[in-house]
Amino acid sequence: MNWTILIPIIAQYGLPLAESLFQKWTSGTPPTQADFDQLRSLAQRSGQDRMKAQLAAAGIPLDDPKAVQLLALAQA
Amino acid sequence: MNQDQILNLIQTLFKVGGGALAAKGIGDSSVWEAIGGAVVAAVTWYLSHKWHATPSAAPSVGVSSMLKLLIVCVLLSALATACTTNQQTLAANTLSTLEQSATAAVDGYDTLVIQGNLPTNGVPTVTKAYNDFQAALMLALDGVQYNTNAVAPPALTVEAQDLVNLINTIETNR
Repeated sequence: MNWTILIPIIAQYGLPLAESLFQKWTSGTPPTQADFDQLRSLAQRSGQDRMKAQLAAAGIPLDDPKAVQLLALAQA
Repeated sequence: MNQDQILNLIQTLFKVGGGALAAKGIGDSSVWEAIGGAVVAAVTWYLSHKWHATPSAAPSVGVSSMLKLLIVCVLLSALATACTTNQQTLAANTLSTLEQSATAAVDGYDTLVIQGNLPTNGVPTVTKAYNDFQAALMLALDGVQYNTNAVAPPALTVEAQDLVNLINTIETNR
């Protein structure tokens, strides 16, 4: 990964994502059990979980009618 | 000229112009590459803000295009580091990058829906595509963790591409 790729990622998604991707691709260290456990934990998140997180980030309570509607739609 | 073309033009100008200046001893190619990246980032930021300020003037690039870039990046990085990194590390890094990229794309999509910049009727389909990707990732993880010669399964990249295409279609048709 070089700066031409990293900087737009930072601009779009923020530094943490770009930093973690850069570290993974440059360290070259073999994955540990903890790495696999963390990835498995991330893979267990559902679309509804992500919607809840974005609603929280937007400051919308989960019992707000708009939140209830979106969470119902994200139950697929 | 759409946003992709603008960004490509800027990158090409810095690549060609930076190479010429470096040949004359003014800076070196890595310096010009970094400056070009910063300019591209600034333009991306500007167009992104313009997009959110006036939804009707949305540029043709969005979250999904960035995901495509990340997927290409995964493949290029895998090729570039294949000689120095073991197979399991490459596969695990690929899975991790795809997971973070897909989640970032869905988060971006959800944010636009919450803001009212995208219709809600695509939410069930995007959610299903993301859940399918996550299920495929779980299967891939078992393969990679317990087999040091495993590669990231092509099916997982297909799942990620399906998610990309879906979000891209929704963004284009809004």
